[in-house]
Amino acid sequence: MEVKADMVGIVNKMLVKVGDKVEENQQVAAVESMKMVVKVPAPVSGTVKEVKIGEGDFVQEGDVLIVIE
Amino acid sequence: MQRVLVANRGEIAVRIFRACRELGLTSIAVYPPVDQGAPHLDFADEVFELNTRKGYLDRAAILETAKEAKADAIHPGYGFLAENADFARECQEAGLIFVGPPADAIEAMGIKTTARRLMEEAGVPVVPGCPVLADAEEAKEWANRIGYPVLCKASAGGGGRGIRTARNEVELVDLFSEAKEEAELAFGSGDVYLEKYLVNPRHVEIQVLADDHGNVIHLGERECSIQRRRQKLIEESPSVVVDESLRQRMGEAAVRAAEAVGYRNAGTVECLLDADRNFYFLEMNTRIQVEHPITEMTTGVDLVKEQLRIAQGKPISIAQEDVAWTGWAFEFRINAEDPDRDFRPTPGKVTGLRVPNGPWTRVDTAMVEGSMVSPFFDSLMGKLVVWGRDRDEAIARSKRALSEFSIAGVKSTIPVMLKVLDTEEFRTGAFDVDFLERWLAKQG
Repeated sequence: MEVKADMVGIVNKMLVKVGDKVEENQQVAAVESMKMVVKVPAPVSGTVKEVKIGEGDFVQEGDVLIVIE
Repeated sequence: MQRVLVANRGEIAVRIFRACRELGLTSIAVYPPVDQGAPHLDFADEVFELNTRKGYLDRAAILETAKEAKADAIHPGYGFLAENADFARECQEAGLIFVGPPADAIEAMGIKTTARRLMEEAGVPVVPGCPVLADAEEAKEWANRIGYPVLCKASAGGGGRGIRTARNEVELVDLFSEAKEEAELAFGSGDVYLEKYLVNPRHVEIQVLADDHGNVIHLGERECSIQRRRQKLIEESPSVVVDESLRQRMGEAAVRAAEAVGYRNAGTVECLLDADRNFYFLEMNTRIQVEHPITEMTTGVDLVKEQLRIAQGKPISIAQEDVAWTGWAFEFRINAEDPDRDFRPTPGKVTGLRVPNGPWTRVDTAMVEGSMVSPFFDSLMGKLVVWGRDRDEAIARSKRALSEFSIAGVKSTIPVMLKVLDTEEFRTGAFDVDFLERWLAKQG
């Protein structure tokens, strides 16, 4: 399952790495835009299969941040 | 002083360029690469690129460009470097006039615990609280003396940031070390202190001006209680709860506050007002504020021109006894935020724009059709400022103007502000700083 940015901005925090187990609704990243930080929760429980974006990267709405299996 | 560099962007940069032009001063814009071609640049007489990725916060790059541009003054606007004492000092050392207060005054007001002590000494009431705390034990002792709930605040914080609430001892002990850590990270100092949590206060602030000739005056109050996440959304002047006697007492206290720190130029003394209309010093904003236009509308004093005149060494153009307030003014912050999604930022391209005008309707903005609302800066796209002879007329005119305002491509705060104007609380003025969040929660 792909976790996408739902806001244009800069990835302010990437809290998981490949292989991490995550619970549904656990915060996995944070995106900052216009001085506001929005938390990105895991939509499902599972294992992080891919991390596509690093801290400081610029993302568009809809860009894939991580993939959870 | 002939050449003024404006170290800012967007609507406030335009505001300062306009004041410069009216005073016959040459305005100089600077921009980092991300703001290349930004519409505010069209309003300046001269434009220079800042060769930096740190943008408007790069003090060295700005000072360098000021030299290259042969500027003799720098106006910082609000945000960015406006309340940076080091920058004010560096300007002075470089032989530039900083259009703002002396570095020492910025510093004194920037450290909240220092400011509170100075205010108490000057006879300005402060919210009951304590000095910087050594540890959680001391915090517990003070909290018992002050009475719960208490706010734990970062001494170097401000503008509503770095604040936590504790309702009891358990919560206080829990949040204390976290608050210290967060303060260290966010403000470079882990100093925290406690303040009594006032129940349902209003935020009322006083505009002051001070010049080099010993004149310090106040221009009355602005009511800024319509906030969400401690950020102001709608401001008005005067305030429905401030009568002439309270205005005079608050104004005199604000003047004493400014005098206590050797203040110069324009500044704002922010206060909380409790249900019994007792006022308490909250903090001083040592700069021009976003909401300054409502004071301009009710007093007729051009605050930015006053700032520039004061920086030139001239006296304030009006005496305290000549300050008169006429009518009622509102300001609406038109932010690129989606009220339906918890006010989250909505950067993007403005694909369509209709800006209201008509009688007593002022819009301060740098936005044009086709402009990009950048995720790198704050969400303020513009400000709608409306004046009426009384509050009812000003509200009716505000509704008219807000309904004329249309922005396509990005979401804005306009629709939610129209709804707020229709609430009983807003119409009667019976609100406090928590009103908007309570109301939003009810809307689901």
